[in-house]
Amino acid sequence: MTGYVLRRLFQMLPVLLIASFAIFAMIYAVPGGPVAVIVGENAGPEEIAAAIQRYGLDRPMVVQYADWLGRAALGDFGLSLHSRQPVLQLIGERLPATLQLALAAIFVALVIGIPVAIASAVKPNSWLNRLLSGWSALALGVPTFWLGILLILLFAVELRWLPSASRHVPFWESPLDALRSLALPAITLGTYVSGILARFLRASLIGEARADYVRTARAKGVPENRIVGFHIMRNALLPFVTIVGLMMANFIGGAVVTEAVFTYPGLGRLLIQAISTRDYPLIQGCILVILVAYMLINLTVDMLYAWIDPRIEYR
Amino acid sequence: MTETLARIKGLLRRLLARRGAALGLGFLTLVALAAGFATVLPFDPLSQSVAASLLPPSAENWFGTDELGRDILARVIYGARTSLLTAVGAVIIAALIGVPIGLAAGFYGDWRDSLLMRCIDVLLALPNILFAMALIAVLGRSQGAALIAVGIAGIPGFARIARAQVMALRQLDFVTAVRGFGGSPGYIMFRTILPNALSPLVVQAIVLASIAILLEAALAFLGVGVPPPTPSWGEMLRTGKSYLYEAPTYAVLPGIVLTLTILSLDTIGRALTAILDRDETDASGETIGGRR
Amino acid sequence: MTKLSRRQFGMAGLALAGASLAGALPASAQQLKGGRLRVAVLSELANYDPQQLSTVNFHVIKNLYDSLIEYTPEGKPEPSLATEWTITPDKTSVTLKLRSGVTFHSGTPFKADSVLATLQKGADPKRGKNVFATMSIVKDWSAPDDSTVTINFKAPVPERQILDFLQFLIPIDPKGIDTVETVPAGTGPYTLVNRAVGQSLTLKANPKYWREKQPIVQDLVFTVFSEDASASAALESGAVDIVYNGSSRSAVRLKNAGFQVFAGPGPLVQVFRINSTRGPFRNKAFRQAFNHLMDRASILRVGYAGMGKVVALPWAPASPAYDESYNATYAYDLEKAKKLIAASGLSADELKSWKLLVNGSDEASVAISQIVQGSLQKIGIPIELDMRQGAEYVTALLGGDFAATFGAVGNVQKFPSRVATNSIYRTSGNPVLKDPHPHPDYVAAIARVDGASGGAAEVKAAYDNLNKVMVAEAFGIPTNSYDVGLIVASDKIGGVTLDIDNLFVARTIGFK
Repeated sequence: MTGYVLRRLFQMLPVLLIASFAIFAMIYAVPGGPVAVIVGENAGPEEIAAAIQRYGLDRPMVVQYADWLGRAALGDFGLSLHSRQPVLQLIGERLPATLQLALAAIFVALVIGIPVAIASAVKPNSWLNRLLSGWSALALGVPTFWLGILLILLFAVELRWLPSASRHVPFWESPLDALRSLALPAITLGTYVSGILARFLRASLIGEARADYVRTARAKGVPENRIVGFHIMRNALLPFVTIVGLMMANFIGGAVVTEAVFTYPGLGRLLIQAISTRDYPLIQGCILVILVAYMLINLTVDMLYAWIDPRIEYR
Repeated sequence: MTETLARIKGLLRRLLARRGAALGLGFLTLVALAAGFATVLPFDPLSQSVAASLLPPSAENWFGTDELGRDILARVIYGARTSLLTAVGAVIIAALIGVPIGLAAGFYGDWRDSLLMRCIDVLLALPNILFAMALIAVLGRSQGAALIAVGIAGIPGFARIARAQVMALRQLDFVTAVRGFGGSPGYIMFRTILPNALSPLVVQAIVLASIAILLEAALAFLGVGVPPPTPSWGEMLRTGKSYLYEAPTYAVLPGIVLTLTILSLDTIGRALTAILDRDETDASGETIGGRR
Repeated sequence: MTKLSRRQFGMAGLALAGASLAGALPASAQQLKGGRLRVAVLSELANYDPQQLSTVNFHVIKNLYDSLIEYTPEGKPEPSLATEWTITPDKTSVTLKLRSGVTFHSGTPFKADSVLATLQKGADPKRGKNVFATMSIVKDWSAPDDSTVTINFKAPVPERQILDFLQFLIPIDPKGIDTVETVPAGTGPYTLVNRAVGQSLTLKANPKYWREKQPIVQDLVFTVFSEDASASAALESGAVDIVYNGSSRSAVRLKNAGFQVFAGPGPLVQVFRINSTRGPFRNKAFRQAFNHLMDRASILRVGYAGMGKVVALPWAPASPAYDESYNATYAYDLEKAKKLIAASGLSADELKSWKLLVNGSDEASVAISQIVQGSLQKIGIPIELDMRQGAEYVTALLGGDFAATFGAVGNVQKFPSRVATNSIYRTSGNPVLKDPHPHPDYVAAIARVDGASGGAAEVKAAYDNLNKVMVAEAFGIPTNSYDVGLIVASDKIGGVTLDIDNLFVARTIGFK
């Protein structure tokens, strides 16, 4: 097992290396450089030249990349061109916010998604099922940014119960404040995910319900609640873990739209800001962190798999 | 040809028999007609009248007016063109690139499979939206850029489904038979396997169309979509969001049309899957070949 | 009288209303209470270097640093870190007496060496940033003793320009001058506690501050909002006490909801910048047509909620060169525009052979660019918008890589030749028009203003000439003035000081 994990971790290195070079190359293909934003629109030619030299942007791209790589290998991701703060520190400030939102959204999604899936799987042809499968269609069809706007309109503009813009308040520091500023973005993002989860779980529940072992259990007279709650659930959980993991991995960088609607200080918005100001070191750092998080979460999901289902063995 | 036509007719009849799908199809037809005949309709999406800006819905402007006094309904109708154009274009791009990749990967199954699928995995690892934004940053904001960015984001879906189909079909009798007659790999992939793998690809096309419309709207919402004054639903939501206090309907009404369009596509897609699934379970292995 | 009642607060009189506030400030300041002041800002500051004077830094500079001298909102010079300034009769030199008993945040005493180090930094093209261009008039400097500094100029400089220069200079702690971008090194009323980039900035009162009884509030917290609407919602819900530098549109809405609005004396002027070295814009008659193509009333209404004034020249109403008559002469008139376009002799294809560059990150620019596009459409010139965001836009602007674009200019309430600090109005090294300057008449007109050190009539004639040349050459078409650095505050807040450049000054603010 340890060997497997180590090998998986080791396999990440070439991917990251290739990705980092690709990002570097891509950044240089994008029109507009960081200097203009740094010096401002009224700068003179001397100032521009000085800034280019100061930030080492006059060197060939390969030299800049090698320089960056050498430092990054030692854990130094450099300073943001714009704010002159260490890139890792900037990311470190945003990552907890992103994780907190992702977890809250997953929580909302599970609370809505699991009951919906179970109810519609247990009684596949009832009116309840129609209603609930309508829910997943709706959850997936309503664009998150529009749902966000509607929630803001209702809870922030009309009722004034919740803030329209979210800040990051660490949950353990002030749970109530954290919930207040998390509520709307978490509901927005969670609703969408609940649609995916409900659809997925429903399909695998129905699949499992047709399996032989369920028939056997029924024949033995095991109570229906126990069949659903224990036998079916346990086996349906396996693919479910994957989906939750994938969602989680996707949120690290992919919750940009929700973050934009609520101006939430997540990693995705940091990256978009960095792209907009062409803050090269910050772009690099953000994308690499997103990739590493994606790969680590995938690895964790595989580990969980093995834990839930002892039949699976990694070598 | 007539056979295909008859099949489409049959499919359509079965779709219409389902209430949800019929409603969806009806709404989509309405949107498509409005978009197609937009120029004939008495709506001007560009005519400004600053004195009459941000008006609420009225008999004259059913959806109200925007910050430049333009008719929001007219912009929603012309916005449908942007959305549908992106959807159709993106599906074509994704299918033209994704299907051959998937076919080749599945057909050869050796190192070529690994290589192609690793590329697809990398494409999957970065969130769609970030990838599309990066691409638009390189290409510049335009209808074409939005279409290409969304299309490329749709490649993995087609590639994976095409690959899965090939893997399932390549060992079947009729394929080995063609191979035995000395059919070239290209002939086998495109003339023998592809026609038999069409159904799931059609469903994927519909799924991607709804993703494309959503993604285009999201890009426009983030400010990197089709540039103004060309109307786009996402752009209208973006601008409308900053007038939530002055004109709340501005951001709400275009959103309803967008949501209904996506729901319609989704309902049709699921109904099709259900119909095709039933065919699949009804049909035995042998008749798959006979369905050519 | 630190607050204007809503009735008094006429929109047109904003700038003047601001001016009448300042005199009464100290009296009321004593009744104000301290506490924790929460301010919403809409931009992330670039860094702590006071020589990087860009809008994004406006909320911090005057709270961490002090200038050598200050202006009242009416433009009257006042002592700050310099207690006296003596300009020689030939206007080639100024001698400053420095305030004693002042210390930097690090504990270093404020002495002449810091002013010298600051001048040194400003004169260095690599480090001088926005100050570097202003240093071009300076020949050398010296410090006869610890509390005296003399600055010599290369040629006689109008007095107002010398004062502007002193007001622009912010002494930096010589010990911290090399790290000033990341660690503030000033004498200001507040010191840095903590910064979370993109989120917040926390400052606390400087206990050793030299101005008596200031600052009033002990804790000053800036929260960065990326959206105007969210910032005003935060004000309405009581999550912040002040919104600084929000949009005019929100200010109008919040004023109607009972909040206080303060507009400073230093507005910006929106200018339709034309690259006269390119395409149809090389044609003078075509450029002049744009004087009449700007639907200024609509632009002001849609872009700035009507807060500001329509202007045909790049001056705020407070500028000595301001001339009301131009607004009528160069009003929106499509017929006049058509005549000039016909006179240009350009073909229909040439007329539409350009794109309007738009700053996609700025909501107002997107809206007003569409208005101009609509006006052009009406006279049969269909053009496209070239939307760019962030760095891509600024890069195009800085490199002069555009045909035409909207961009605001500042320093429009000061000495008229200061307009030449804005890139499109630069007389040499102009990044858009390049060297040699294609409009020598304009360069000469600016030089004439700079050289007019004689009587009032001579000065007036120089200003009139500059105005005439500006509309004739028509490479910049001003549309309207608008407020930057607007302060919208809850009714608990008192003691707002208006800065000449509309920077945010927190030291006099307190709770009623």
